[in-house]
Amino acid sequence: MANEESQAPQGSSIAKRGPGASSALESERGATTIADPVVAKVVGIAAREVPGVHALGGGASRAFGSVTQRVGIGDEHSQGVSVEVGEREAAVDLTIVVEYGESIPEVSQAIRDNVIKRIEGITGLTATEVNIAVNDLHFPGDDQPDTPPPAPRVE
Amino acid sequence: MPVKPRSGAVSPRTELARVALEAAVGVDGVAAGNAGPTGQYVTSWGGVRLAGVVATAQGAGCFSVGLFLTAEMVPLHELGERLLVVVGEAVTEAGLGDRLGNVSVSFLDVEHPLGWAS
Repeated sequence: MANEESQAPQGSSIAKRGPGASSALESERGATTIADPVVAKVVGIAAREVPGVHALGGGASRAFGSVTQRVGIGDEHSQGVSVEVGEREAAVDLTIVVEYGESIPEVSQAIRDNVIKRIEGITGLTATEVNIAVNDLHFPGDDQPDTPPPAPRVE
Repeated sequence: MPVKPRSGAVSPRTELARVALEAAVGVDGVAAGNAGPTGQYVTSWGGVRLAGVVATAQGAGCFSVGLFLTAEMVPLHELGERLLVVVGEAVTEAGLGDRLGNVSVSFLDVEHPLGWAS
């Protein structure tokens, strides 16, 4: 399994917040809050926008994700995405499935660039770390149903 | 999405909630009000149900207004600031400016413009 990583610059830190946390902007008119699942969803959408990405997650996480989506507690946009959100920064861990034939380093870098751009543009957070794990490759024939065995000629 | 109650007078609280939510969902970049994962962000009265707004008395005849929204993929802090302005203006125009207390905007979800098949 290929693992491309981009580490945060030396000296940067991310304050970890409790579950259900969000990033907030206070002004004299009021407060704007962005829920952490929104950040995860933005990351998931940004990753899926990159050509060469077949899916997010992989293996057991995708199987588990399909179950959570069916019972209404999961979201396909956030599957395979883990974010740690601070007051001003975010760190991202992504697990992806890449189309066979694509350059994994190029796809990974394109994902990283798009995720950073989207996070910073939409949420105002600085993406200090975008770690990408390529969990699987997708081949064109992978989604085809198995060829059924021929019907028996005799009973 | 103008919503009028089917019967009876409305309270300043519910009218404030209605005006604020109508103004908010009319802003470019806002997809819809969001009732939250357990449907807790709702103001309802007389058969009317407004998903994505909660108005709460905060003293001195004022009500704080919380907006809970699904946004489009746009810069959210700028959208939040725009919403605070638009809601304030709409409430003032509706004659409820002296009833408006603190306003907060929470983005609970985002929508991709093209949608994504699962």
